[in-house]
Amino acid sequence: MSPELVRFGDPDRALVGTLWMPDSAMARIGFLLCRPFGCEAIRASMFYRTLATRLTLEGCAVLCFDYHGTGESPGDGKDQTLAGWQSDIASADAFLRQRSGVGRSHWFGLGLGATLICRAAIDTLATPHRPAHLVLWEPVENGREYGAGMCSKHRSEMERWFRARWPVIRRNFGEPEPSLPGVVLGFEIGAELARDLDALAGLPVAALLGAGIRISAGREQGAAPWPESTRLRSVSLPHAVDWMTSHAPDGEEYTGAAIVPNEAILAARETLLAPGPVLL
Amino acid sequence: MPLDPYSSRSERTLFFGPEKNLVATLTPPQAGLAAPPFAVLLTNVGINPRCGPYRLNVEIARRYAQVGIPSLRFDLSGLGDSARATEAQPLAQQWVNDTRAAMDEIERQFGIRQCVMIGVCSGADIAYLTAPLDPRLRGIVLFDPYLYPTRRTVVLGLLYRLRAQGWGRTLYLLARRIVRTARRRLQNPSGVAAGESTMRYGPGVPSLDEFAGQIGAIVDGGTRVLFLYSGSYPYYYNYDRQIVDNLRPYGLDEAIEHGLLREADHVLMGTAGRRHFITRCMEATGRWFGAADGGAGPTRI
Repeated sequence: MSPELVRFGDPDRALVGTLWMPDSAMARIGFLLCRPFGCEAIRASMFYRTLATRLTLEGCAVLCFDYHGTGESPGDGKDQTLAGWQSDIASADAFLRQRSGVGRSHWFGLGLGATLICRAAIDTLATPHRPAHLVLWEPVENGREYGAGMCSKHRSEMERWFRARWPVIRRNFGEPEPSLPGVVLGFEIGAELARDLDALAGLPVAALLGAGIRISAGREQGAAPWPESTRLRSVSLPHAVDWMTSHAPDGEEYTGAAIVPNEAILAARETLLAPGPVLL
Repeated sequence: MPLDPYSSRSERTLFFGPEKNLVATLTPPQAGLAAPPFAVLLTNVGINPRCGPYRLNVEIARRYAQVGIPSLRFDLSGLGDSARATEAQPLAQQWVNDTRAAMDEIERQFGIRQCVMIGVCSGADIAYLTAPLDPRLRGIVLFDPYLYPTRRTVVLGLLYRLRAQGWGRTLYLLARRIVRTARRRLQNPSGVAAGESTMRYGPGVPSLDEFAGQIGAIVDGGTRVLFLYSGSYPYYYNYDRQIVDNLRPYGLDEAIEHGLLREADHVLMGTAGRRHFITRCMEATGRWFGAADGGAGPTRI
């Protein structure tokens, strides 16, 4: 089983991805995998590949892609916006449905990818192509906290790499203070994206559930509760993965890209068993 | 000189290799520039996908494209989007074969038979292993390859710790380390010592003799070698000519180029270090292939 390399979308906003088709002639369902942002996307790459493989074995057509200006897709990171990436999700979903022949698809997102699929799903509510099921894994629910977290992680990563305190690194190497907009954790965040993140507060979960979309979620322990609904299945993650770091808690370097959280794979697979609209 | 805008729209993703299991992104040179004298190879860093840590390889590829140099960034077998090869081979052998297949693809796409591989961390291992085996690899940049501390390294490492952490913490850590080392030596008399590499990446860690032998074979074959080191290993590599001291007993100290980028971290996350690294790579590779202006690349037609 090997994927097809695909390029799709508007030529001025091209997207690159991998399309996995099941061996059976007819795909059971389409599954769109939406990556998180920045170093989290890179560290989660092996997880996404594993997830794509598992879902394809379950008979799904799977599309995993990079938003414009990220990963292998054309474009510069500094020119991006949340709205632009939401439109990329819509393009990717249209491409997946067209290539696989499925009517409605399931979407998976990790981190900022989970946030983006929520927002992109809202944009589809008036259309016949809204997703049947969303899997929101460790979604970003507060953009300001997320941005501050990235800046903090930037400093601690540099401290670990240089075995020195941040002020010493700044003084000795001229490393700028991380800020939004600016370069944080190795990625340039432009002014528009910084504004988008700053304004990001909460997810439109109630509206999505109200529109009949099923949601499975994995959220950090202690996260503010979401509205109760028979369409919502949420698990609490006592040991959420720190996707931003390349170091284990004891300070030793590790290849974080190797992390594949099994609970997330199970959550995605469980959506294939859910009753109701998902099996349409 | 400001660089012309480069359009990433011309990049192509493709399968290549004898089994068509390898995935690469081809970045062609910007149109309107002179015929490229060489192409650049970029690959995985650890198990980061081919875009590299913090999308480093994408930035390098586009910078080279702006000055007329094409590149191929590829996933080794089993990494990123590349599937495993069907025939089981030792890992190092497989990855060397993958790299040679990448050069076949560059030759097929551009007709170029001279390549430079920029290897970061484990990518440096692959470049180091491939260079003596394929005459098309005319230059290699090794970023944080194996580290061989000298006595001077140990002294400077202690001074670094004093500056970074102060006397109290330094003395505490030193005492803790002495106790731990003594314990380890009692249990394992062949523990790491000066002259032995402390890096644990890649397919195997050569002794300094083996390492120098391989570097000798590479430079004897006419391949240019640039060693670059980050500031992330202040206790293992901490002065500019450490690699020269390592290789002098083997008569190789004049045969290589080197640099210590103190402001660069091991995965080039930081802004200053990343900029310095890319500049050094472009300056050296431009000079190797006769570009008069070094980093600015070939002359505009």
